[in-house]
Amino acid sequence: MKTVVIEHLARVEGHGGITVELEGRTIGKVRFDVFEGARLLESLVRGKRYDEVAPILSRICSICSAAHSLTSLKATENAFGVKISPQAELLRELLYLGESIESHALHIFLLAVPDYLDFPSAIALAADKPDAVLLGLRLKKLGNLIQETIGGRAVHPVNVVPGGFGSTPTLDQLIELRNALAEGMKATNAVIELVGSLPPADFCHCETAYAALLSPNRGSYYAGDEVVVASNGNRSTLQAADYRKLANEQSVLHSHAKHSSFHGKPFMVGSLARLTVNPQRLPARWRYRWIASS
Amino acid sequence: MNKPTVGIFGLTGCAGDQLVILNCEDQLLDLVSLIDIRDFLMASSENDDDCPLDVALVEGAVLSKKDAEKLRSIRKRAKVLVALGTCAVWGGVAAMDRGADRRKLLQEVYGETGPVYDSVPAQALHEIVKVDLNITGCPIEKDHFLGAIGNLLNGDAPVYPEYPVCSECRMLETNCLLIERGQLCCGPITAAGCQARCPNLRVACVGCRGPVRDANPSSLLAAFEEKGFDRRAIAARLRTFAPEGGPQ
Repeated sequence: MKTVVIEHLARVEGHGGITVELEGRTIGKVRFDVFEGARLLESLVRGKRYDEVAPILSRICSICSAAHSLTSLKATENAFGVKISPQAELLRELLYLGESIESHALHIFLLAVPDYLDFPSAIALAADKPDAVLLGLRLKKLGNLIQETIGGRAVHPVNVVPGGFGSTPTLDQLIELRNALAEGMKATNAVIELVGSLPPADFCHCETAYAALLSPNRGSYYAGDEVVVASNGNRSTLQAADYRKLANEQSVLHSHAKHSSFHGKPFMVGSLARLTVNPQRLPARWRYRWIASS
Repeated sequence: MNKPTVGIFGLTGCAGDQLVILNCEDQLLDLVSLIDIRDFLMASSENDDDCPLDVALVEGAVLSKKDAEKLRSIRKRAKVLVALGTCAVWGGVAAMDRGADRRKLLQEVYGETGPVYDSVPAQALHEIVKVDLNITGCPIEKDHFLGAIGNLLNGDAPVYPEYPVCSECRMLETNCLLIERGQLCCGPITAAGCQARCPNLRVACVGCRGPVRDANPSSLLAAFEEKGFDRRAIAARLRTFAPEGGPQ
């Protein structure tokens, strides 16, 4: 038996390594190890004042800091029985979507695409295909503009507070944002064309369970109350408040990141899961392409 | 002239300061034409993890023996070591309660497995190695990072504000959240440089940039007590991002 160890994975959000056991040409056990230090924020927020918790938990991760802030605020507001205004709901949703745009553009163009096109980094790729990299950076900047306009900062939003917002954006800021979004829509079409033209990944596809919030009709991934786990055509629904049934965290020796399973099997979350659970949210012309490719 | 060699590293943290570098969308491609980034795991799969570096930018705090080892090896390679962000400069949020029983905290979060992990109380970089330049902020400000690279390319040392967030509030003519609204605002003892971002949005400063030089916490404590806050709440607020004692 041979063991392959990759201590540090490059171009990932966070830190991690992989250990693969090989029996001849057959892959045995694969372990994903996260050895980032334990910050123990779960314990450190205990005893803090209600308005101190979200700014601490946002620091769980910079790339998804808006999601961590908003989730923490939702929990705080639920605890107090506070309902935020419809305007605040909409602004929070916009902030969250801004984060998704930034994070997806970062993931696609700076982290993933270099692998598909066999370059070590987006910087190296820019020498060969500057248009593709500039397109990605433009879209990424748009996501950050949304987060700056609504959240007050691109990383770790400061303007979201228990009960709503510190300040609401000015009319001029919103007009600037609307114009940038109209431009961004054109860029998005170009991104989908580009990503659709990439060679498909050639690793094996195994049956995967996907878990995501079910998006209510108005199209939010932020306001959903139900979680759907979709696997091979089967769908199970859980109330979001019962998230512990899904996020039933178990500590493991080989990694500082806890493991969760659904009916004993691992599941995937994130953008692919959101699309799998909510294909109706895609505009018709892209929906057909998504269904055909999945 | 040869381009200076640069390494960008993350110890334990949220990767926010590396993200700020990648968020320089308009400057990124110009930036890489001026410096030779040899080691940047978050953005490249082709790294030289051994070469000497003119500048090492390190974000995150030390939270494991492995982090400390990595930091020492970066120090050996680098002519100039820059602590990037509040975790690297001060310890950051993970250091807020570092006198607490770590074994107990590990057990609370991870159960019986916790105490087995390689885990030490959060430390700032200066507690382990010599740091040549501190760029604070949670996360750092884009302009401070780009300015520092410009300065270093020209052989200058960057200079950052040595006055509190309050001074920026006054310059912007923002209403005082502490005096006029009775809020627990850390502006009086927090290092400026953020253009008083939070008070300007009518949100109290949480101190994410760490203490300003010559901070006077006892006078702020008196002001808070006068507004009816209790000492415990004040102490907790003031130590969220930086434990006592710091790099200055």
